[in-house]
Amino acid sequence: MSGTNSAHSTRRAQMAIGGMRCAACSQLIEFRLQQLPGIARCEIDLLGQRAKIEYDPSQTSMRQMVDMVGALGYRALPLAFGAGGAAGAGASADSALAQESKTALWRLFVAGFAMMQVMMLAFPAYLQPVPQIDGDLTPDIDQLLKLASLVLTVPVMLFASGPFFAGAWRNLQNRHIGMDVPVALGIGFTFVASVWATFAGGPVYYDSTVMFVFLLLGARWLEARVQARANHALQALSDLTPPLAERYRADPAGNPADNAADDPANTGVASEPELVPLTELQIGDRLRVRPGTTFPVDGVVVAGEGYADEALMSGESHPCHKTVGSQVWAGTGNLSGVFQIRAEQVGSATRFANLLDLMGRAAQHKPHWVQLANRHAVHFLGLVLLLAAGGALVWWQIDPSRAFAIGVSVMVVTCPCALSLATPGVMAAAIGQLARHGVLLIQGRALEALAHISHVVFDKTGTLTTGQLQVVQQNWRMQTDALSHAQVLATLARASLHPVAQAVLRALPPQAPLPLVGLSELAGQGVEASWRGRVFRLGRIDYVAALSGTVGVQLWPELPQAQAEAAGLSLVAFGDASGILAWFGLQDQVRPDCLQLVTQLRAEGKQVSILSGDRADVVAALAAQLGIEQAHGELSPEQKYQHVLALQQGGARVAMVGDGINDGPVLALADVSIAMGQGAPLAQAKSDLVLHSNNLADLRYAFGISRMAWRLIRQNLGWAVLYNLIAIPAALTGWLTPWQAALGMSLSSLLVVGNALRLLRNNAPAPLATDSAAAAAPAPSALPAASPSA
Amino acid sequence: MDILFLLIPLSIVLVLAIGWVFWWALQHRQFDDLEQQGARILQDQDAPNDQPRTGGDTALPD
Repeated sequence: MSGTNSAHSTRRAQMAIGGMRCAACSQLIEFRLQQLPGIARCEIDLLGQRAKIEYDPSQTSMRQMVDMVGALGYRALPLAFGAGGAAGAGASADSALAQESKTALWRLFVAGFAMMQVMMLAFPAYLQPVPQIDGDLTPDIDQLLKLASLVLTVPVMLFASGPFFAGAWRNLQNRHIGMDVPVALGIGFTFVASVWATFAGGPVYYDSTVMFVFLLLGARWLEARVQARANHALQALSDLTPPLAERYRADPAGNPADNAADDPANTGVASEPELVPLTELQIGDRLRVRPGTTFPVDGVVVAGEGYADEALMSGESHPCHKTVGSQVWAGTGNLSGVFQIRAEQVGSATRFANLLDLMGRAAQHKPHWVQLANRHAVHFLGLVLLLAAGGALVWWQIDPSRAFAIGVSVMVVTCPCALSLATPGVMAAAIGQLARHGVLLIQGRALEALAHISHVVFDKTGTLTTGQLQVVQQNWRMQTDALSHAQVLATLARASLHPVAQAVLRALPPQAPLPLVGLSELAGQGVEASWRGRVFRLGRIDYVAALSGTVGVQLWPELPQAQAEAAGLSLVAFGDASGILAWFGLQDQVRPDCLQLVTQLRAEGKQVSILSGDRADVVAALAAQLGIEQAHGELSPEQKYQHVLALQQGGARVAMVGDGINDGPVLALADVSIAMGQGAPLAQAKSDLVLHSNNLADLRYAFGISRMAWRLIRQNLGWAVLYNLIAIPAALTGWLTPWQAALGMSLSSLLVVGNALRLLRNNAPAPLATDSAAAAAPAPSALPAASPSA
Repeated sequence: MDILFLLIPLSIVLVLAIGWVFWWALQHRQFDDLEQQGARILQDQDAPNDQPRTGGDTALPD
C-alpha cells in the first residue's frame, strides 16, 4: 500500500459484474481496474461475479470504475458502500451465506484432519490385536495412543459434528425421526463407549467415529457446493435493480413541474431529484429514470417518451414504445428517453421481486429421489439400531465381555455413508457435466424425469428459431441505385430501433452516416428523412409508396408481394418520391442445430412435435424441413396447454422446450420444462432446465446424462444394501474387528463416489450418420417464418 | 519406545498449530475462489499486484 495514502480513508465497495465467462475475463478486468489511480486493492470473484474494491475516493470514483468495466464490454453495477480500514470490515461485506459455507468448510477440515491423525494413532492397535501378549505395543503405550486419540476426537464431537446433534435435537423436538437422529445416536454412543473402553479396557472406535463424521460432512458439503454452483447464474438477475433511484421531492403544490422530465437541466422550479435507496421509495413517488439504466419500480410514465427493453418479462428484445400513460416494470431497461414515472409498486411488491421469490423457492426444492433415499435411510438406520441392541443382548447371554464391542461394531460397520453419498455424488457429477455442455439444471428432480421422457414438444419462435429477423432477399430497382443510395438507407435504418430496421442495417456493408434532416418515425409504419432536398422513407410498402403517390399492390412489376407473403417473408421497402427503390424480404433465422437434435430424438424413439402460435403454413414448412410429423400452428396458450395435457393423459411423459413468458403455463405442466437461455428470465425461473448455450444440440447430452445418472444411483443404492447384508452378519457373529469396520466403511464410500465419477467420462453421445450429412448441407434458406408473435 | 511419550503429545500440539493456520487461511478468504488463482500464473505482469498506480504509465503490452 502506498505510504502517502495512509492518511486518507480508503473506501470499500463491491460491484456486480455481468458477462464474465472465465478467468481471462476476470483477470482482464482486474488488471484494468488496478490501473486506475487510487485503487488500493481489487479482487474479482469469478464464481460470485463480484468485484471487491478498496479505493481512495479522492482519486477515483465508482462512476469511473463502472465506465471502465463497461468500456471493456461487461456490465458493472455498484452494489454496496462501506467505510474501510478496520480488518473486521471485510467480514461485514460477506453475506450470511458465505459465513455459513465457511463454517461448513471449517468443520469438514477439523473432521478430516482429526481423522487422519486418529487413524495414524490407531494403526499400531490394528497390527497388534492383543496388546498384552504380543510384540512391542506395551500397555502403557497403548494407553497413550488411546488417550491421544481421545484428545483429537473431542473437537470433532464438540464442534465438527454439531450439525448432526443440532439436527437430531430439532427432529426430536418436532417428534420426527429424521436422518440426523440415528446418526447422532450412532456417533454419540460410539464415542461414549470408546471413552469407557479407554479407561476400562477393550477396543476403541475413535477412528471409525471420526471417519463417519468426516464422510457425512463431506456428503453435505458436496451437496451444498453443487447447489451453489447451480444457482450462481440465476443470482446475476438479482443485481439488475439499481440500489439507488432518483426521486423528485414533492413541492408544496404537490406535483413537480410537468416538463421536468423532458428537460431535466432546467428543473429550476421543481427540485433536482435526489438519490435515495430503493428501500425508501413509496407508492406515489415521482422518479426520474435516465436512458441506459433500469427502472427501479413498477409504475406509469408521467412524462417523457422512448423505448424500454422488456426482455425480462417477454423474452423478446423488441423495444417497447413507452409514452405518457404507459406501464413500466422494475428491472426492465430504459433504452432511450428520460422518463418521469410515478411509482405504483415498490420493493417486494414489484413483479420483479416476485420473480426472484419464485426463483428462491424453486432452488430450495430438494430432488425427489433424495427425499426418497432419506426416508429409506431412516427406516434402515432404525433397523440397524435394533440389530445392534439385539446383538448386544444376545451376546450378553453368551459372553458378556464381548457384548458391548459387538453392539458397537454393528453400528459402526453399517454407517449410512454409502447411502448419504450415493445421491449427492451422482448429482454433483451430473450437474457439473450438464453445465459443461451449456445446460443448467435448476430443479434436481428433473434429472430423474428427463430419463423417462417419451415426447418432446417445441415452441417455434425463439426456440427453433433465433427470434431475430434476417434479410434473405434484397432487390434494387436499378443497380446504380444500390450504390448511390446505400448510405442514405443505412443512416435511415440506423435511426430506428425497430428490429426490422436493425435487420436491414445488418444486411448492408458498413457506411458512414449522413447528416439527414427532418428525421421522423411513425410507429408501425417506418422512418422518414430528407437528404439534399429529397425525402426518403424506409418501412412498410404502403407507407413508402405513399411518397410517390401510388397506392396499391402492383407498384413494380417484379415485386412478388403476394408470393413473398405466402412464403412467410416480411417485406420492407425503401423509396423516395420517384417510387420504390428497393425492397427486402426478411425471415426469422432457424437455429442451425435443430436438425441434429430432432434427428437424435427420433432415433431414440421419442415423439417430437411443434406447438406454436405462429401461422400454420409457416409452422408446417419448418416441420417438413426438420422431419417433424406433428406440427400445430396458430395455437393460443390455452390450446397448447390442452394439447400437452391430452398427451399426458394418454400416458406420455412430455418435455417442453420454450422461451417466452406466454409459454409459462405449459412449461409448468410438462414433466420436464426447458427454457432457452436467451428467453424470458421469468420462463427460466419456472423451468427445470435452462439451455444456457442456446445451442439445441446440447440437449442431446442432457438426455444421455440423465439416463446414466439414474443408472448410477440405482447401482449405488444397490451396493449400499448389498454391503450391509454382508457386513451386519459379520459384525453380529463377532467376526469383525475394528479395523475391518473402518476399512469397510471407507471402501464402500469410496466405491459409491467413484461410481458417480463415471458420469464425468460421458462426453459425447454416439455420432449419427446424419450428423455429417447435416454438416455438409447448406444452411436453411427461404424458410417461411417471422410473424412478430410466436 | 519411551520417546513416544514425548513425541505424541508434541504431535498433538502440531495438529493444533496446523489447525490454526487453516483457520487463518479460511478467515482471510484464501478459499473463496479456487479456480481463478490457478490461472494467475498466465498473467504477464512483471510487477506484483498491490502497487498503487499513479496514472496508467505502465509499460506492459496491451
